[in-house]
Amino acid sequence: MEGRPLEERELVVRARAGDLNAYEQLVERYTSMAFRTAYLITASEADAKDASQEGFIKAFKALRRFRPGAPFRPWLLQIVANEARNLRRGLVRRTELSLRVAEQLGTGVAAQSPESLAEATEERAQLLRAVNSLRTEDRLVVACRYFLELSSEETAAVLRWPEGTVKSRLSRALERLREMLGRQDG
Amino acid sequence: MAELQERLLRLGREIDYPETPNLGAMVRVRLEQPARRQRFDTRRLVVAAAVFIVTVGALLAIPTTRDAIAGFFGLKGVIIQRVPRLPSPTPTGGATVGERLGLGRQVTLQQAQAAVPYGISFPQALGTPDQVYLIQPADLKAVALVWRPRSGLAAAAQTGVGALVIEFPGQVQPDLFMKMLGPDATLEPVQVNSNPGYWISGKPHGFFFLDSKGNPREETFRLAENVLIWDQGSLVVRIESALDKGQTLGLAATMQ
Repeated sequence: MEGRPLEERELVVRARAGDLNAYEQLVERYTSMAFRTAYLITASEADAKDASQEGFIKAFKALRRFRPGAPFRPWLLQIVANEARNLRRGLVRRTELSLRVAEQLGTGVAAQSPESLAEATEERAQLLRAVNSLRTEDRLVVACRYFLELSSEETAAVLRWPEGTVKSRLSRALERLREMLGRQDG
Repeated sequence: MAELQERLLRLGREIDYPETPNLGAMVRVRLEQPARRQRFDTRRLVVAAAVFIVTVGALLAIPTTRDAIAGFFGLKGVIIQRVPRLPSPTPTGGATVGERLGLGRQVTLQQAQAAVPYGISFPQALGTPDQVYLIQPADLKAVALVWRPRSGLAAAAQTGVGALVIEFPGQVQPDLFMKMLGPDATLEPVQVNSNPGYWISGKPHGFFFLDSKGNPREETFRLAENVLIWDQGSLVVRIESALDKGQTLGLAATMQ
């Protein structure tokens, strides 16, 4: 991928040669992304932590098989997502995604009137409820594309689906969301 | 309709994710302990012991060598590891000493005694502990004893308490904690009540509790300073305080 900082490539090369300092930097760089990916799949903080940690350990051990120069992020996230799926299996409970409360949302919010703030918050909450109610595969594709902001290609790697499937499932998921929101609005 | 996609993108930035854990240190610690799982292979153990005897002096004496080697020094119940750089400690909240130091459930000395299969002993020179904890999970049979700072027993910089004694039977869990020594911490083999032990001092070192699989428990990582650790019969005992080596060995001599 063009524009990716050379530094990352260099870190990967060093980590591949067994340099733990370099790998620790990669881990730090991608912890948030890996943890969130695992959280969206497992819907459990503890499982997300375990899955991302195991993912990083397995990725290090698999680095020899990593093709130098290939994009590192989707490769790593694929391993983490796999760990997360393994942990998720057999689980019945599922924490639904929730929104940060308005005070945590930072700049821009303060300028709004309490009424418009409440309205905007309700609108977001409604959208999130709709996403939460999607079936798992639809919810995952929406989460990968819009919450993690992965490309179609990266989403395909993480979910282990062909890219065409990502596109068709995404379009189906968006259609369902529109239906649900339309029903609620009406 | 692009509007929905924009709304989803905005929504994604407002998801209430749990706080991202500090995994860099954990992953590194796990990747740095290659020899651990082979500890019970006797031949390896003999070789390791020989290497240990030969190298320990050199490692401790020559900073450049010891920095370069992420070695591993075995003492029953504890993994001591040299690392070139200490990870940053996990920020610990918690109002009580036990929460701050990850000590587990606070109990009375009598309750602790009823919960473990050995006689709890502590340096009699310190008097009765001010607080007693059963380290969790309780089947580790490990206890932590805390003495508040007082005259002659200054608060240790890393724990904030006067003295912290942790003891557990080495046979219940082969290893309960791990110490990571940065380049500036010194590790000195000592005899404690005729038992083998180590005195660790100098710059702070890393301290983790391990889970039953031997993996460091992330939430317990903190820094420690002056520590004496030794095998006392079937028990592993660890004293952490601001006292120097002579004073700590003096305390250890009053264990009962």
